[in-house]
This record gives sequence, structure tokens and C-alpha cells, in this order.
Amino acid sequence: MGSTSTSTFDDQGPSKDNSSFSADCLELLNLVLDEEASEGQRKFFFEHLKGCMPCHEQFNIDMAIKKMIKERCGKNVPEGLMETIRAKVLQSADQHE
Amino acid sequence: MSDKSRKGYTKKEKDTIFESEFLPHIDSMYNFAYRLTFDEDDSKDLVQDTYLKAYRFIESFEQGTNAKAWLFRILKNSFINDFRKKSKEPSKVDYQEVETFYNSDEIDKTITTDLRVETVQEMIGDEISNALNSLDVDFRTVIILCDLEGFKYDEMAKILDIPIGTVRSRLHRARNLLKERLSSYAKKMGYKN
Ligand SMILES: [Zn+2]
Repeated sequence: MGSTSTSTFDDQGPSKDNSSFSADCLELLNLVLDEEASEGQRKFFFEHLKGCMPCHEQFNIDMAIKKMIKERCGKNVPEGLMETIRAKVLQSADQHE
Repeated sequence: MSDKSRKGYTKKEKDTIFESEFLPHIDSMYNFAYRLTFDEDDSKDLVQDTYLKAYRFIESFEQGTNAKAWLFRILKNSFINDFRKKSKEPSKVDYQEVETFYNSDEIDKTITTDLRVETVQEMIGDEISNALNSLDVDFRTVIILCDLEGFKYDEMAKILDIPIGTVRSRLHRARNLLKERLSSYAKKMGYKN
């Protein structure tokens, strides 16, 4: 596991200047975006957003894209495939009985 | 689960698990297969294969655990082991090369994209989907698993057999690439950035 595998900050958030767009910001942004941040991290992040324009913009863009992917990139299974699979599986089950 | 020293599921139990826990994920499975192969028949084969395997190895599925993640893992492995070899499309990026790239300082670099929220929201056609499809398979995969299917980092790590740190860095890189693509679409389409 690389050095990026664990959070580089605890619930206090990055100890850096509160208004600069840093690697720590980015890491936190992704955690919040993916709902992987702790409650403390979330609070810190949204507090930070108030004073950090770049993070604010980036976060909005990332949220918009994530939402679009969810809405636009789905696909339904072709008609009949479920029935075909069900039949094949039951058939294979009978053979193995 | 707890009251049973399991010697195995009965036929009836197997069928119930299959019907109520496996089959409901078929849309997600098909979509994943399609975004890996870009071919309808291949996707059907891949999904069918996955379900046959899932049933055959149902004993290794623990009831109460995440069936969807378990199925995705089987599908991903089938894709790599059975399908990717046969595929005419060669893997464009060498895996090692990709990993090296993730681990470089590049990851910390801020991509200052000129994309705007309004621009993204105005993309009403297939731009997002096309941009996603244009990404290399490893990048495409993490975005699908995370953003489309809503898997958590630890579930993705299990599905892909990679450390969580790699999940996170790959996801980050994938998002940057996606934004670059979207940004160039936006320019082509004449959006004011
Ligand atoms: Zn910031």
C-alpha cells in the first residue's frame, strides 16, 4: 500500500493555510465527494469552502459530473437476457444435482 | 447464518439467493459489461458467464454480505481472464506504466480545468458517456464503480484486488482525465468556458 493509502490528516483537517488550494484540499475534496469523509472532515471541508474559491469551484464541478454520470451512464439489460440466464442456470443446476 | 454450521445451501436456498440477491443486479452488471467490452453480444456472454459462475460457486458467497460487490468481482475477473485475452483491442496502457504514473507527483497536481458547472449541466447529449468510454479501461472502471454504482472505496478495493490507496489515486487521476475530455468537448461544441 502506498503512502497515500491512509488519510494524511485527522479530524482537524489539513494544518496548512486555510485558503490555499493544496494536495490536502484535493484529498479531502474527494473523500467528501464520495461520502468517505468522517464527520469532522466534512465539517472542516465545508468550513474551508467558505473561504477557498478554487476548492469551491472544483467541488461544484466534481459534484455536477458525478451526478451526470449517475443519471446518464446507466443502461438496462436487453429484453430476454434475464430469462435466458435464469433458464441456463436452472438447467446447469439440474445437471449437477 | 449464525444458527447454521453450514454444510452448504440446499437447492431451494441456492435458488432463492440467486433469484432475490443476484438477479436484481442484472442491469448494473450488463452496463458494467457493456462499458468494458463495448459490444452487446460480448456483454451478454460476460453477464451470463458471471451468473453461471456465481451459481456454481454460490457456497463461497456469504449471505448477508454485499452480493453486488461479489458479482462485480466475478465479472471483472471473467473479463480479465477470459475476455480480455480474446479481445482484438490490445490493452492500450501497460499496467505497470499506469501504476508508476499514479505514484508520481503528478497526482498532487491541481488540474485547473476551465470547465464550468453550467457547461457540464448543458451537456445534454452523450458527451459524458462518450468521455467516460474514451478513458482507458482501468480508469473507466473506477469511475463506473464509484460514481455510477456507488461502491465504497473498500468494496472497490476488493472488487479490483488493489489497495485502497490505489483505488483513491486511480479515481483521482481518472476524474482529472475525464475533466480534460469534457473540457475539450466543451471547446469543440463552442461552449463559452
Ligand atoms: Zn481549498
